[in-house]
Amino acid sequence: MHFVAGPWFAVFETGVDGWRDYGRVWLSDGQESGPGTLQVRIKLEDQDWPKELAQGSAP
Amino acid sequence: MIWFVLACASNRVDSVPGPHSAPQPVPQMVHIDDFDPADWVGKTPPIVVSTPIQDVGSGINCASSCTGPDPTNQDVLEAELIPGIFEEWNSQEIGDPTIELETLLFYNHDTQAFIAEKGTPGLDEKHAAYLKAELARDSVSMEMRLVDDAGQVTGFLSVPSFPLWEKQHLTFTGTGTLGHLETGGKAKRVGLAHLWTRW
Repeated sequence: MHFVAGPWFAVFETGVDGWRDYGRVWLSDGQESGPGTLQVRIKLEDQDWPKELAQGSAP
Repeated sequence: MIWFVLACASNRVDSVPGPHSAPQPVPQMVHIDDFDPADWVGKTPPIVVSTPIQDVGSGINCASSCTGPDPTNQDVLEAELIPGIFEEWNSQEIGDPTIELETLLFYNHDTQAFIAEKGTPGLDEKHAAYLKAELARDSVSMEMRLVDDAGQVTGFLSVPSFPLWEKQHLTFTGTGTLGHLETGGKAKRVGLAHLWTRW
């Protein structure tokens, strides 16, 4: 069994375009190995705004 | 608050040992300052960490390696403080990332418990509706990928939606000769536009 192990801890801004580096990893399949990077894209689910906020200052 | 820990890992076991096979070597944990890839050629690659090794557990399983700072077990937002935060935030522009709004969202569960019991004293209708809507945002979408230093993607995962706060076990696809790769962790909201993650 294989694991991508950390732990990695990070705070990301939601919905930012593009990949963000999370942490460095060492990749190996037993024959070849080398360094790499774990990258992440994460986004908070959009909100269905209440009627009273649908037109106004809500983002 | 920002925690960022770089860690490297490779934990490869080719097969499940049978009753007559030799025991599989257990990867060692090595601090990143002491890690030199040349030392590990032909050997079972180590788990490389940048935190003090005693802080991330001595084993390699998920339960022992998932220790660390957690934004929800630091402290609580006392209920008697919330009306004052409401009053201050009510004078601020809706949607601005002020400390009052960020505090109410960081302590999501404490804020929701207060609202369930006592409502939103001190908030006008729009602020109250906005806050309730923001507190209800409880899921995220996420993609992860592994990229080697030559720019080759060696693993990818995509989760269209999973709940905040709850631990997930996710499996990478497209890993080729790397075999089965999975990761476990969770995401939590720590402000208006920021998510804390641990994987």
